[in-house]
Amino acid sequence: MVLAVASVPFARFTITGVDPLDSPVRMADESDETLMARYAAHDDRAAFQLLFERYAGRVQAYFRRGMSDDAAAADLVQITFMHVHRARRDFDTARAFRPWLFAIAANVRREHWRRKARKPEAPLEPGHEGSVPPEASTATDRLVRRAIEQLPDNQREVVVLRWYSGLSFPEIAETLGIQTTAAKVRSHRATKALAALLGGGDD
Amino acid sequence: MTDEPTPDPRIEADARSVSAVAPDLWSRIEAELDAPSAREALVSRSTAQRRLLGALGVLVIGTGVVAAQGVRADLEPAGWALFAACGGSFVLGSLAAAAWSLRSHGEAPLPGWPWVPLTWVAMMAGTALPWPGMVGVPPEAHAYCFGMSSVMVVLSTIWLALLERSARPVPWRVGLAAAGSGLAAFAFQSVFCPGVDLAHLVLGHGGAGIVWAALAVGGALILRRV
Repeated sequence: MVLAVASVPFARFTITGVDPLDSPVRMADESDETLMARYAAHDDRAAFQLLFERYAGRVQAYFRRGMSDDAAAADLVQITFMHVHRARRDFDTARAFRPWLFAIAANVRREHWRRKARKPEAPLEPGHEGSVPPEASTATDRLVRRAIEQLPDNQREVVVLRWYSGLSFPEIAETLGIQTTAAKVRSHRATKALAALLGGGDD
Repeated sequence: MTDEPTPDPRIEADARSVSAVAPDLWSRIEAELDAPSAREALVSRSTAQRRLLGALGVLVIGTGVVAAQGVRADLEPAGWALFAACGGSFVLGSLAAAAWSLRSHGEAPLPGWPWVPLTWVAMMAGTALPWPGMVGVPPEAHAYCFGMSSVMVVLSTIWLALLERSARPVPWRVGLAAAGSGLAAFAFQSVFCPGVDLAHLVLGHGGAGIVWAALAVGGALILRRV
């Protein structure tokens, strides 16, 4: 298999006649951007699956703690990856994958709230714990969830992207279309607020 | 502020607990990938291609409707040059609106509502352009031109909606697509109809874009609630 896209950086390996990218072991070591480039250029399902395995959990965490609707989180992960699939040819291989992915997730979240005609800031009703079964929801879970939900939406989004999805500040800035400094300031304020909110809680 | 505060350990534990993905989630995605919708070939194209296709579609639809009606015979070369300047600006505005209405999932949404009324204002301002033509259009011609402009607007908006990736229509985008299509319809209808009475331009040529854009926005708002 000869890779036709010049931007895929390891096309040089094809001169041996064996494409090392055909090896799943080798593919697992490849960068997100390379995998996305492969998927965009060749519809390589294995590359897409690998990206899913790397990021589905982080995207789900973003949805589950970015809003108070656990039941929808898995559906929104599915929608997000289907949007990645449809937008694969828009992916710019010169840019990072993660901010692009989470920008899509942020748009999915926004669309979800628009459709529900509710604001993300809407407080939880007393006793509401989303889809978490009562037996699986510990006092700590509830405390953390409530603390995060009490943050202003712009701080909550940054703190969730930072601590739940593992994005760096430059990546958060790119995802949300804000300055890196603004992302740091929001994170700083949110972390301090969370410390205060969680201060009295314990299992 | 140079050092980032360390998060509470309970947040780190919570982050681990909420990232456990349902085991069947990938198979659900694969099932959707393996059963693509009829529109998949269109919406999976790059946004640049979709914008190009959208603009081409608006031009083809406008040209087709004009071809079905015929071309006005009242203009001399100088009149056509003036007409091309007026109509060309409308068509360019229309293509820009069509392109703007199609966005990628990864792009931050733009505040869209201002663009719809702005497009309408541009359309109404266009009635003041020095369109070459004839005055004294009979009132029944208003309805005919409105109808033919509507055909262009509706077909163009449907075409742009087919190129849209969102499962549910986004009101301002579909409104912008319809309003932009109205600009093109205004110009294309003037290729057939020489009437330049203000009432005729507003009601017959420009009215369709305004009416259908309003209906499209209203319809999209309703569909989003379904």
